[in-house]
Amino acid sequence: MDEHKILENLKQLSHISPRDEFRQGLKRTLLATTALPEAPLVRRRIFGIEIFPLVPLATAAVLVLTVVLSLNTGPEAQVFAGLNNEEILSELVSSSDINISLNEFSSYNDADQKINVALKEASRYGTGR
Amino acid sequence: MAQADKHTVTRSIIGSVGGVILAAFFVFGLAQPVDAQVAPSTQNPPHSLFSIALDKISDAVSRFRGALTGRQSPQRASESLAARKGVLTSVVEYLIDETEQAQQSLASLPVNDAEEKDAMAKRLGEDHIWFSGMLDGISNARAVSQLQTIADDVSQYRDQRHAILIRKISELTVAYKQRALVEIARARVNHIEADLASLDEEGNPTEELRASLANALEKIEQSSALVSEAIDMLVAIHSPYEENKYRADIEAAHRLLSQSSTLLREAYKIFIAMADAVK
Repeated sequence: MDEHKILENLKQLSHISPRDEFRQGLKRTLLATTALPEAPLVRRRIFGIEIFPLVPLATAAVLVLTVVLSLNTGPEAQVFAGLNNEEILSELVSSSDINISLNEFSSYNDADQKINVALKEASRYGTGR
Repeated sequence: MAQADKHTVTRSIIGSVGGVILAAFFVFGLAQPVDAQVAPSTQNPPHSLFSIALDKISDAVSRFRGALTGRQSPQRASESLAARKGVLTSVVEYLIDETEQAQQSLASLPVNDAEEKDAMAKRLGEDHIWFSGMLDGISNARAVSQLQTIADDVSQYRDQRHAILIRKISELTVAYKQRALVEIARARVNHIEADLASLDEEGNPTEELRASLANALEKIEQSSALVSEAIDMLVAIHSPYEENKYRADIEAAHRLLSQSSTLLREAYKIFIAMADAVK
C-alpha cells in the first residue's frame, strides 16, 4: 500500500463516530462516577435527636466551663479556711433560718385566737336536741 | 433542603444548650463544698400542716354559724348538733397534732435535766390521752348540753395545762437551735484566727482584721449570753402553770432569742466583710 492510499484510509476513519445510544450511556456513566459519594456517616439518634452535632458541642461546652472555673478558683481562695465567703454565707443562711422558727410565735397567737373563738362558739347556747 | 438546614441548626442549638446544662450540672454539682452540704439543718416543724388544721377549724365554725341560722326544725337541730361536733372535733384534732409535734420536738431537745424532760414528756402523754378521750366524748354525745360541757372542759384544760407546755417546748426548741448556731459561729472565729496567724507569718498587716474579729466575737458572746438567759427562763416554767406569769416569761424569752439571732447575723456580716478584704 503506497503512502497516498494510507492517507485516503485515514481520512475515511476520521468520519467514524459513536452511536447516539452509546454516547448518552457513556455520558450518564461518567456523570454518575464523578458525583460526590454520600458521606458514610453513622447517624445515631437518642430520643429522636441526632447526637452527631451534640457531642462536639457538649464537649466544647465542658472544656470552656472547666477552663473558666479553673480560672475563678485561684490559689488564694483555698488558702483561707476561716475567711471563706462560701462557707460563711452557708452558715449565715442557717442562722437566718432560725428567724422562721422565731416567726412561728405569731402563728401560735393566731392559733390561740382561732381555737378560743371555736370553743366559745361550741359552748354557746343554740339549737340541738 | 433549606428546611433540612433549619432542622440541623435547631438541633445544634438544642445540643449546645443541653451540653452547657449538662456540663454545668456536673461541674457545679461536683464543685459544691462538703461543708455546704452538711450545713446544720434547723428542721422546722411542719407548720403548714397546722395552717391546714386551723383552716379546718375556721371552716367548721362557719358551717356551725350557718347551721344556727334560719327556722328551727328537727332536721335543722340535727344539722346544728353535727356542726357543733364538727367544730369541737376540728379543735381537739388540732390539739392532738400539736401534742404529737411537741412530743417529737421534746425527744430531740438536749435538756440537761433528765427529770424535767421526763416530766414534760409524761405531761404531754397525759394531754394526748385526755384529748383522745374528748374526741370519743364528742363522737358519742347526743345532746347540745354534753357538747357545751366538753367545749368548756377543753378550753379550761388547754389554758391551765396544755398551752403553756406547748409554748415552752416550742421556745426551747428554738433556743437550743440558736445555741448550736452560736457554737458554729465560735468555730468560725477559731478558723479565722488561724487564717490571721498565716497572714502574720507572711508579713501581711492584720491589725484591722483582728479588730473586726474581736468585734464579731463580742457579738457572738452577747448572743450566747442571751440564749442562756432565755433557756434558764424557759426551764424555770414548771407545772402547775400560772398562765399570766408564764405567758409573760415565754414572751420575754422569745424577745431574748430574737435579739440573740440579730447579734449572730451581725457577727456574720463582719465575717463576710473580712473575707472580702483579704480577697
